[in-house]
Amino acid sequence: MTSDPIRRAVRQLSRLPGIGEKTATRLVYWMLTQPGDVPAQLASALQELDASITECKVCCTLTTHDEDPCRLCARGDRDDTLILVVEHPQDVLAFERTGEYRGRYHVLHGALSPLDGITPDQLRIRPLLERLRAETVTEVVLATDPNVEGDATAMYVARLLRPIGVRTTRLAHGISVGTEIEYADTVSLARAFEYRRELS
Amino acid sequence: MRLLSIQALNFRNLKPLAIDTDAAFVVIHGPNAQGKTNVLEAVYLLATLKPLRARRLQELVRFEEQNAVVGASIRTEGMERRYKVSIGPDGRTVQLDGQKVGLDQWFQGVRAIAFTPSDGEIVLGGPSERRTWLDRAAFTKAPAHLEVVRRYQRVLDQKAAALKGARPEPAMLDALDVQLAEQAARLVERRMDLLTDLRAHIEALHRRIAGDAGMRVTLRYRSPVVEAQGTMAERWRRIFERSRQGELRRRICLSGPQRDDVEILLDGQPVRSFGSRGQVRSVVLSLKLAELVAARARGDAPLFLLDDLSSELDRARTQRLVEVLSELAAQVFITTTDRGHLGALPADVTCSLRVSQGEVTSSA
Ligand SMILES: Nc1ncnc2c1ncn2[C@@H]1O[C@H](COP(=O)(O)OP(=O)(O)OP(=O)(O)O)[C@@H](O)[C@H]1O
Ligand SMILES: [Mg+2]
Ligand SMILES: [Zn+2]
Repeated sequence: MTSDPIRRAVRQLSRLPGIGEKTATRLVYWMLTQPGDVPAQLASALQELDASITECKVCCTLTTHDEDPCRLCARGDRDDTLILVVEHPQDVLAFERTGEYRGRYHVLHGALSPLDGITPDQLRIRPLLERLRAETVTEVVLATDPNVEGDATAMYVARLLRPIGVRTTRLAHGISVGTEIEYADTVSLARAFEYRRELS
Repeated sequence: MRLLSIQALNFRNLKPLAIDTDAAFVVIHGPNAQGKTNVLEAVYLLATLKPLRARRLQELVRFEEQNAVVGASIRTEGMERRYKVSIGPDGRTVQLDGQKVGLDQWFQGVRAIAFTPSDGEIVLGGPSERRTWLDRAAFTKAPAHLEVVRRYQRVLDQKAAALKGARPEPAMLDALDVQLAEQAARLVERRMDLLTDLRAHIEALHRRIAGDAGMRVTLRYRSPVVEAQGTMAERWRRIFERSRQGELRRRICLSGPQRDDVEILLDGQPVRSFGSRGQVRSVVLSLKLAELVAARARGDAPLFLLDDLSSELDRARTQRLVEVLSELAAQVFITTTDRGHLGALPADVTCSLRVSQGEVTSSA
């Protein structure tokens, strides 16, 4: 029964994170049995993505051709002395949701991982250095993920920034709020201890 | 901790298993190739989520079957809980009281130290045998050690991949080396702490087990950091700096705790080269007992598993071992072909299990 186009669609869908072959198959059959041309609508939406999305020429997050620099970079009410460096565009959204951060962003699009063939030149590190040369930045906060790759990336960027003389900080990591210490997992607890700070 | 009962399905050659084991000494006896060690391995699996002998967990599944399950009721600090491990083609899953839990929680309630005939390799084998033992022991002491080992290994793998790459950028290697030094420091500090724990007990234990008055056992961590100055991470960083040229030339990692070793000496001589078979066994057993005593001193009570005791120790030493274990009040699992070999175990605290062609029955 499974003809080629269906198999191809299943294979494409199952490449998506979090979607296995089973789910992909279910999605494909669901789309085919819906009224209205769901596959065509989906395809056109995806195609539009490809045609209109680009990386912001300032912070490298994803934006549209019509908004480049991106909305956040275009805003005049943000603090130009501060740049928060993150791995992914979604991380920008996460920080924006807090409503606490007033500075600018820079998106690296990944973290150093030689195991996956990701070396410094695959990341948007050079554009960051350009920004630091041109702009009025006094502090760079490295908010890469708290894992081996994120830590190595932070270390790498911090060392590149050293000769530029800009203050470099690393985001603190530890126990998530609302977790009682008793129930925190040992890794988070150990890390929280590592990143402890002076009480003044 | 006390293993009150154990159940198993499709586990190696064992027939569906369901037995009570609520006793200080659980003796598993029977002729060769009946499944005694398999029972021990089921207990070991619960306590470590690793196979005792096999390389892969899937080898534990009964031939021709897909899935194996091992369950147990374990009482730890007054609380009795249900532990269940399932092994399938896709790996293992664990449930505590019917719920998925993190390994953190799992290992709070169950841990074990095992002594098996192949443990002679800790003394006689290469450095990797000793590192494996040391890291397992450090894990038994504090399960968080597993994460430390994994994290170190991950950075090491990243660095190895970077060295294999087309033109490894020095700044990237620097960043990785800083990470590696930090993780190496954590790893080695834990290993050395563990050795300090063991040193406090091994001397006395060895004297009791070996019986011969006072051959001194020495444990020495061998690593280029031991002699150096500065914090542990600084020392590693300097070592990595010095290795850089060679690493770039040969495109592999040349230094780090993955090359460290533990020297085990008897009266100042390496047991590896000069020890008799009996001496080797006594030393290894003393190591394992020292782990147990150190755990008791911390207030922990891991299970103690002894495989094939009769082939490992003569009667006199077995008797002394039983004495030591009785004093420690840990739950002990012993397999043996010769029940008489164990001498008189205190009857009121012993549970005797007979294994015949994979069938385990209580033999009073
Ligand atoms: N995955 C498996 N499925 C079925 N049978 C297995 C499996 N793995 C091992 N066996 C069988 O289990 C038996 C060995 O069991 P075990 O090693 O526990 O013996 P034992 O009683 O400890 O013997 P010994 O006294 O020689 O040490 C062998 O007959 C072996 O073929
Ligand atoms: Mg056996
Ligand atoms: Zn932007």
